[in-house]
Amino acid sequence: MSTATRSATVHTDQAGVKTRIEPPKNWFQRNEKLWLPLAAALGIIIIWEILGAFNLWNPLFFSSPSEIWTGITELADGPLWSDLAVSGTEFVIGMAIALGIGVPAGLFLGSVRRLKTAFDPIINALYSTPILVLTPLLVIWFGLGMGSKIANVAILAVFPVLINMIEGVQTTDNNLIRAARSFGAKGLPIYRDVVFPSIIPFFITGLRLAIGKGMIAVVVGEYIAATAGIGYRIRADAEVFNTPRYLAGVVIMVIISVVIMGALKIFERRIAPWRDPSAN
Amino acid sequence: MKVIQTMKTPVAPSADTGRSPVIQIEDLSFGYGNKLVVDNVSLRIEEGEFVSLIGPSGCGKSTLLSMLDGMVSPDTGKISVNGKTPVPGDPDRAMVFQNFALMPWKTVLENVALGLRYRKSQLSARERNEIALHYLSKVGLADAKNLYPRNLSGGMQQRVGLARAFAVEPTLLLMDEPFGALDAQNAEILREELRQLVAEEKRTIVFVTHNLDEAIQLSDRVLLMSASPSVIRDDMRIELPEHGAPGYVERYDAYREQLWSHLRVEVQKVQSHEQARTVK
Repeated sequence: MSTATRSATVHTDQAGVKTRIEPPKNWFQRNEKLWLPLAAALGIIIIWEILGAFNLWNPLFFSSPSEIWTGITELADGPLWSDLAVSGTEFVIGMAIALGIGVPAGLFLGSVRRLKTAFDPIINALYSTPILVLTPLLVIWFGLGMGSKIANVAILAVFPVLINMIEGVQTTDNNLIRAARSFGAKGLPIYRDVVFPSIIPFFITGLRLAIGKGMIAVVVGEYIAATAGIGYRIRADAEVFNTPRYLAGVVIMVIISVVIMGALKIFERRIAPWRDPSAN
Repeated sequence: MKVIQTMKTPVAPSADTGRSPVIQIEDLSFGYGNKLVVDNVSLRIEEGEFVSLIGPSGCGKSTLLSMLDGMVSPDTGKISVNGKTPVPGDPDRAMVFQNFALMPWKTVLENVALGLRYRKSQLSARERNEIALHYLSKVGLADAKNLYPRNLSGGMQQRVGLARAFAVEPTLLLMDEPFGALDAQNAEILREELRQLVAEEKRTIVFVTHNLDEAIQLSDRVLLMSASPSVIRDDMRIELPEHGAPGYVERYDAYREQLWSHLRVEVQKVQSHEQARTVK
């Protein structure tokens, strides 16, 4: 490894204090976590493209990166933006409902031990059920449009939020609650200073799982029965065997989820600076 | 090693001093489930005394401390601190915890100011921070004020714990094995610092420990509790000359020998109880 050959020097100042000085790291050494995954992804794309150029398989089965790129530009010139607007609206409203219910309900169930005991089995049963099978029913209730997808997102995303909030409240360190009480905290300040901050990692975990589930809910909901949206578009292209455009839709979904997860990481660092290893 | 601070005028534990005791416990009993832990204990602690509570594990010494802090109520009997039944958060007390119990999401300074925030809300944030910084300097951590606890060693974290407790200027300090989670060398240094602090800021202290030497070195009085159902087995006043003065070692050894001969019996009782239970 290259780090083994980096040599440090010892500097002695006027007072005779010795300090070890490492040579500064270059851009590649400092940003390994950024460029290594990118290089890996790029490598896979290049190999895929080269293999595709040999016509080893029928492009109908598994397109090549350049054709998918053409599909992306075609979508971008066509229905992509209105589809994304529809799917995005469904996702955001559904997530808002899931958080609006999951966060307070989780805090409440987590704080009242008997309620948690009563509802825990039901919540876990529903969480592990593939609720997507309810989509046809939701379509009957809320129609072919956005309503049924919003309901889909809300139902799928609410459980990871709820379960993690309950878990978070219950794993709050009793010693910290005790210390706060001992120093005079009562009621709301205990939540503000102890319970809420200690829940943050659980909330973020719940949110991350909920975002994943919510995206599945939107796309699959649209895939099954819809008139617009990215999931609808993917299905429409798949049905006419337009594989490059169909895979282009999939790639766009991948990019969106990478962006959202990256944003979530930044958000986490913002609201929980004490967990950031690089902080002070 | 630093000089041991001996009590100049140990207050006689009799009522005729005319002063009301800081702590008065009368016929106190408590237990968990079907087990009686403390059996009919009565106890008086006068102002300015440094009292160590020592005993085998499970003898109820930590629970007794929690009762003095108002966190747990006795089954029967009376407990009063400064003439009142203690409730959590009383302004006349502060606690130092074995596991430090610092809020990970608060900086060192915010942690020290925690009690001031709850108890002295009439002070402005600046005044609270000034007081907190004063006590933080006393434990030599003024420079660390903006760090988060996880960036501190155990010894430094407990210094913050001590500063937090002294900062609310309590008349009674409760310490639950404050150095039990530290390595031997750091514990030794913190003992020295505690002695220094107590010399500067006279307080009544109840100090729970497993460590006989710690109890003898720090206290004016050692209370030895028996195995449960516990009673106060020994109530020993420690009067040591200056460290290194003639007779110091002999006195020290005599205290230690007497306490250990009794403690040993109690620890063995606990062991044979446990053995009996496992065999069953």
